[in-house]
Formats: sequence, C-alpha cells, structure tokens
Amino acid sequence: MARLVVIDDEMPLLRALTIGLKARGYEIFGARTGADGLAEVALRVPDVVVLDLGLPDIDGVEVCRRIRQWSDVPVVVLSAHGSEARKVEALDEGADDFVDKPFGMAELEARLRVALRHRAKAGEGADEPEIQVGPILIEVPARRVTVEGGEVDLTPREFDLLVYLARQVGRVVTHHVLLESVWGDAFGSEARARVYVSRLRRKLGPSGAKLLKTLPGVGYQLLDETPAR
Amino acid sequence: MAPTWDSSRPSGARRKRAPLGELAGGLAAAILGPAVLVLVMLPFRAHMSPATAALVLVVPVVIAVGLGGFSVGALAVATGFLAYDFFFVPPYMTLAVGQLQDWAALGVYALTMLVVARVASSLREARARVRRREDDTRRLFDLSVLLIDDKPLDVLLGRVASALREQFSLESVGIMLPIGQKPEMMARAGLPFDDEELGRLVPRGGVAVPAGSAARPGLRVLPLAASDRAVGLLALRGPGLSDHDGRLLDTFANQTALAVERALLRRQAIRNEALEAADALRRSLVGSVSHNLRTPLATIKAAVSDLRDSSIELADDDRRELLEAIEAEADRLARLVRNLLDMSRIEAGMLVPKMERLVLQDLVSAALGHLGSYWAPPLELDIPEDLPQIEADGVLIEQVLSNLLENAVRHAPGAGPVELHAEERGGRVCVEVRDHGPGFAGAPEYPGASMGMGMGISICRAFVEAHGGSVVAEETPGGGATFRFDVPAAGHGGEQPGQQARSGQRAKAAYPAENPENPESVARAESPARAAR
Repeated sequence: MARLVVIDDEMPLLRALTIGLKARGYEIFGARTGADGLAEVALRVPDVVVLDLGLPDIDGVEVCRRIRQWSDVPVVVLSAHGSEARKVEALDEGADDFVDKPFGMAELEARLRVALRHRAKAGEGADEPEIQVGPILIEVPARRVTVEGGEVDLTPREFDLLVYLARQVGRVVTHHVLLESVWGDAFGSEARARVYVSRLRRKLGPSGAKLLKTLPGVGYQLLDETPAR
Repeated sequence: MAPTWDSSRPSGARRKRAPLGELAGGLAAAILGPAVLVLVMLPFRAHMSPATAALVLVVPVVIAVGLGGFSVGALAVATGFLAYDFFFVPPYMTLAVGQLQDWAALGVYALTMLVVARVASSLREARARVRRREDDTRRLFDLSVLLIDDKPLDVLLGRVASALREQFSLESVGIMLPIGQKPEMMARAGLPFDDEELGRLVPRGGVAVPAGSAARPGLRVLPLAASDRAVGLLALRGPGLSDHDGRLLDTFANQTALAVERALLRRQAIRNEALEAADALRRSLVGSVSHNLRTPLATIKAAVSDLRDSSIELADDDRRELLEAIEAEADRLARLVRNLLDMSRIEAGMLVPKMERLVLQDLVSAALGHLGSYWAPPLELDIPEDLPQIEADGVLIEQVLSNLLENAVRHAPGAGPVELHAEERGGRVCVEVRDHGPGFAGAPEYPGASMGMGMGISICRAFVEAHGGSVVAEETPGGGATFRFDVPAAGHGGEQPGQQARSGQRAKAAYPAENPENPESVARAESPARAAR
C-alpha cells in the first residue's frame, strides 16, 4: 500500500482528498502547515508527497526545497493561483509534477501513479546502459535509439536531450532545468530547447511523440505510458 | 521693463516720501541756510575776516548736498556765493568786487564748494546704493525663507502673494496656475481683481497676456517659468515700480516658480504613491478573489469526483462528510460572491447604511448561521448583559462579523478557541474578534498564499467606516490576530441621517482605490500585507 503525505491548509479539501485516496487504497497522512508537513514527511517516509503551494506558515516552494535537502521522495504540487511562475519555481526546486486546482480525483491519482512508477524506476539506478521508455529503447553506450524496433537517427544533442528526459521519466522538467542539464546554460533561450524538443518529437514518430509532452509555460515531461493529462 | 505706473496712487508713498522730504530739506538748507547765517553774522561783520564768513557758508552746502544731492548742493553753492559777495565782500550790498584779493577769495570759495558738493553727493549716492542693496537682500531672504518650507501648495501661494504685496507695496497680487486648460487664480492678496481684469489676464482660449504687457494701467503679468516651462502666472496691480524693483520682482518670480514647481512635483509624487498603493491592493484583491474562488471549487470538485467514482467503496460516514464539505464550500462560494457584489457597491459609492437599533448578540448568531458548517472551532462569547443596543445597519454589521469570524477560522486552524468580546466605550460599542493562530508575523511574504481574506477585511473596513468607526488589526497577546471595530451605541444621539449619508461617502473616499489626494486615508484603509495576513 503506497503511503502519502498530503500537505494542504484547507481542511475541507484535505478531508475530501483523504477520504477519496483512502478509498483508492492509499495510506494517507495529512498536515495543515508546512512545519507539520515536513515533520510528517520525515516521520512517515512516504512514497509520494502532495504539497499545496499556499500554506499559512512556510511558503510551499520552500517546503519543497527543504524536502529535497534530504529526500528524493516524489513531490506533486497542488497549485491554486493560476500563476505559472510559482509552480515552475517549485518544479525548479525539485518538485516532480503538478496538478492545477480544481482537479478531479482521477487526475490526481494518475499523477500519483506516474510519480510512484518514477520512484520505482529511480530506484533501479540511473546508470543503466539501456533505458526503455514505452516503445522507445535507448542504448546509451552505443548512442542508438529505436522506436518499436525502427532505428532513429539523432544528432548528439538530440540524443543527450532524450537520455536526460528518459532518466527523469515521469518528472516534469522545466525549461530552466533542461537548459542547465543538457546545454549547461541555465539562462539560455527557451526557444532553443523548444526547437530541439519539437525536432526530437518529429524523429520519434507518432508512438514516441505522444509520450513527450510539452507543458506550456512550464517545460516538458516524458512518460512511459499514454498520459492521462 | 519700463513701468507705466499711475504715480498718483497713494500706497507707494511709504518708499517714495523719504526722498521727497530730503529734497525739501535740501532746498531749505540751500536757500534759507545762507540767509540765516548771513543774518547771524552781519552784526559781527566788522570784527571778522571775510574768510571766516566763507568757511561758515560751507555748512549749508554740505547739508544741502547730504539731503538733496548734487544739484541742490550746486544751488546752495550759488546762494552762498551770492550771499558772500553781497554781504561780506566790500563794497558791501553790491555784487561788485573791489580788490583783486577778494576775487581770489570768491573764486576759491566757489571752487572748493563745488568740489565739496561733488564729494558729498557721491558719498550720499554710495550710501543710498548700499542701503538699497541691503534692502534687496533682506527682501530676497525673507521670500526665500518663505519658500523653503514644504507647505501645501495653496498655503505656499497665499504666503508668497501677501509677501509680494507687502514688499512692493502693491494693491493686489494674484498667482494663477494652469488647472486643466485655463489658468485659475490660486491665491490672492489685497483687493480682488475685477472681471474685466481677469478677462484681460486670461483672454478667451486661455492664452495669457504677454509678460509685462500694459493691457490696463497698473495691471501687469509676469510668467512663472521653471525649467523653461511656464508653471503659472503672477498678476500684479499697483503703483509704479522702479526698474530696480522690477528686476527684483523678476527674481522673486523665478524663485516662486521653482517653489511652485517643487510643490507640484511633490504633490504628483504623493499622488503616485497613493495610486501605487491602491494598485497594489487591487492586484492583491484580484489574486485573493481567484484564490478564494478556486479553493472551494477544488474541494467541491475533489469531493464530487470521489462520490461519483463507482470503482471505489465509500463508508457512509465518509460519504456524508464529503456531502457536508460540498455544502459548506458552496456556502463559502456564496459568501464570496456576496462580498464581491458588496465590493462593487462600495466602489460605486452606493454604500449608505440603513441605521436601526439592533442587539449585537442577534447579529453574532446570524453571522454564525451564515458560516454554517464552516464553523468548527469553539467560540467564546463575551458580550455583557447590559451592553447597549447598537445603532447600525444590520446587514452590513452581520457581514462584518461573519467575515472576521471566517477569517479567524481560516487563519487559526486548530489553534484554540476564537474569542468574541464586546464592550461599550464612550458611546460606541467595540467588538473584538481574537484568534490564537500564527497572527500577522506568520503571514508569508509572497502574494496569494494566504491572502484569502484580504478582500473580506477590506469590506469590513468600508462597512465599519460607513458607520463612522474603524477596524484595527493587532497581535493578540500571546500570539494570534485581533480585529477590533466599533459602531455607535443606540441612545447616544447616534448620527443624523445627513451624517450617515456623508459617512457613507467617506467610506467610499477611504476605500483605497479612491482619493489619491489623501494618502493617509489610503494607508489607513488598507495595508494589503496586513489585511492579507
């Protein structure tokens, strides 16, 4: 049974989430402040953390940063303000995914499932010579990529980009993080990333492309199954 | 600048009379002086040398020059010369000169006297120049002292106008500033300008008469120009000014223009500050509204999707709890919509409280009813039995109470009871809502996070101010937030209906989006960070 810590100051929402997720077979621990939430995360060692960004005591982005200092637990952010900037900030700080309020329980659960799978994969080790993402098979030492058995011809940069996204499968990767990790230039142009991603998507063909999502204003996410979003 | 002044005007006399008096004195010394001295010396003529008489006759010349200047001095020299020749140079009683040595004496007398007159008169002129310079310096100093303080523009202009009128002995001084398209008289000292004069100052189309123009005798206009830009006009009416005073007046005008410009810039700065504050509040309100709308919607949607999902089994208790949450959050949305409507009512200036006598306890009960199932923590009521009734608009005050209580619930979850305390104080009933939550210190700095009730508190302020009261926010001793407001107690004369209407308008004026002229009221009405908690 997967264990969740849900941090949200809105009591009614916290209750609705607790009831719904419990009924879906999760073990839930709720917290209504950032401080309580951090304590719960430390104490319960959850599989996923659901974190609201608007907390009364500590900024949700800060909570995310503090969790990341000692834990790799996937963090799904609930953002309520419609302001992309704070959501992106949290993702830059290491949050894995986000759900915009208001959301249905099915959508939240889909995000949680992706996060749980991503956690399981991350545990397998990041230095695997072969990475399988859905129909995409990446042979890292040979720098070879096949989609459903057909070889795909990628430039070195496109290959690096794909490997990076594949190692982060399930995670939302912001423009900022992508530029820093693949180009080594955190303040490079988003347009550059956009061009490479769209080229990569075209080369991966329809079955590969539908797994590589563009999240407008936020970044990219490579999924290993057809996304719910 | 050649003034065309009407010199018959009496008011300029204070500065003009002194030279006239001195001139008369000088003339008297020039004509009467020698006559008197001759009369005094005649009896002793036989016993004194003509040289002594010549020396004595120097006296009126010096006096005449000192008082009347060189020309009067020259007149004294002439009369002295004639008197000396006539009475003291033999043969007496004729202008004829007998001996050569007497010619010499007369010649030396005339020459010496002219030199003395010349020297004395230049001394006198120098003295007058120094005095005038001193006077100018003092006047400029007085004016700049006047301009140095940061005073409101109207006060500043009033003082400048009176100072100019006094310093230059003018009949009227007016200062006009462009308001909209047309210059308008902002300050005036002395007699008012009549309509015809005003018409000449500002002809149709709003173009002022050119500087120094003599559109009408005694009336003239100086531009107030600072940074190559006219900031206003100086209108003057009065008797003649010398070129010298005219130049001094120009200097004054320049200084005044700089001060006016500074005052205008300062006013602009204050206005901008207030507008910025109002704008920041507006932005935070928009953020808070969207937050407030989304939060209950999130709960409703999550709860409904739980209930609808046939793939999961829900316990009866859970099912009921979800339904209750949906109802409570729907109530909350309804309250929010009501707040939004009130907000627009306040903004439209349509807030006029309908006063009636009410029992506070009833309003508290109604407010709790409105909060419905949202109310979770215990409420400690401290309302004295003998609390007088209040004179208030029940609908508005009930909402103030429900907003403050909801605020306390939202911001102090599980942090002990919320306390509501009421007491009479000086003809007003003060109500305090105290929570023991994180208070204002725990409020996150970033916008949007917990500012949920920013709008609710703004509405409270507007409503309470419409009752002539105020909302004060402070830390609860020992932690938490306290909001205190006051409304009139019944039977204390209350407020007259007229006053109510006015205070209703004041509430509008105090609402921060309005009245940028008065930054204080804006600051008092709302500090977004605090209201946001």
